[in-house]
Amino acid sequence: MRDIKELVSKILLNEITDDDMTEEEKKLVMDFIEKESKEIEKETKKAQKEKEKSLKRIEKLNKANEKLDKLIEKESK
Amino acid sequence: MFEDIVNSIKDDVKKDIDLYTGKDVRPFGSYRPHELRKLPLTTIVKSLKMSWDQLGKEQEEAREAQSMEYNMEASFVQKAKNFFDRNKRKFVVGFNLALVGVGAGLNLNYFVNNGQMLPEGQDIIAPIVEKIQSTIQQERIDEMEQPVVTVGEHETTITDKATEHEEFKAELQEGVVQEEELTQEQLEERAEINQEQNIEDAKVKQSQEIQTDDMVK
Repeated sequence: MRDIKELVSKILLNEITDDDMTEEEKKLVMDFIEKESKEIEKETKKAQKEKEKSLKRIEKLNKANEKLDKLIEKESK
Repeated sequence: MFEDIVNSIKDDVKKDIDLYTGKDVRPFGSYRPHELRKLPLTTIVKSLKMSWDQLGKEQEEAREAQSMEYNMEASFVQKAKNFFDRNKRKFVVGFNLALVGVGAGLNLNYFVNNGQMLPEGQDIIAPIVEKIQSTIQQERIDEMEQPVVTVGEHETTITDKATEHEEFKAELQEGVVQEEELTQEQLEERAEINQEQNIEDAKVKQSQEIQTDDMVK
C-alpha cells in the first residue's frame, strides 16, 4: 500500500485516478481530506482575522496621526 | 422555446460532467455538500490544493498588513514623543510644575483630551500619553534637583522662581496687587496660594484645638 504522501503527489501530478487506488488507499486519502480541509479552513479564518485586525488598527493609527499633525501645525503657529 | 430548454439541459449536463470528471476544479470551500459527495477523491485533493494556495496568499497579506501596522505605530510613537519633547518645557514653570494648566499647558491638555474624547484612537493615544506623562514626571523630579531650568528662551533658577512666588504671595496678602491687574497665570497662582493658605490655616486650627484640649485635660 502506498503512503499518503505518494498518493497525493501522484494525484496532483495527474498520474492516478480514483480507479487506480485500492479501498484502503481511498480511505487514507479521505482521512487526509477531512483533516486537511479543517486545518485549512481554520488557518484561513485566522489569517483573515489577523489581516482585518491590522487593517482596523492602521485606520486608527491614520486618524491618530491626523490629530497629531493638527497639533504639530498648531504648535508651529 | 424547446431549443432553449434543450440548450439549458446540455449546459447543466456539461457542468456536471466537468465537475464529476475533475475538469472543473474549484477551491474546497466553494463546493456544496451534495456536490462534494459525488466528486472523485482526486478532484477533492486538487481542490484542497487550491484552497491551500489561497491560504498562503491570505497569510502573506496578513503579514504585510501587520508589518505596515508596526511601522506606522513606530513612526507615530516617535512623532508623538518628539512633539512632547519639544513642548514639555512649557509645563516646567518654576515652582508651579503642575502638568495641567491653561495657556502653556494647552497643547498637552488638548492632546490628552483628544485621547479621552476619541474612542477610536484612545487605545493608541492613552498608553503613549501615560508613558510620556510618567517620563515628564520623572524629569520634573530631576529638574527639581538641578538648579537651572529652561523656560522657553529664558533661563532661570528654581530659587529665583521661589523668590518670585514668595514676593507675589506677600503682595497678595498686603493687597498691593489688585484683582483686575492679575494675569491668567497669576490668577491660577493665587488660587494655589489660597489653597495652600487654607490648608495651613486648617493645620494651625487643628493644632490649637489639640493644645486647648490638652490644657482642659
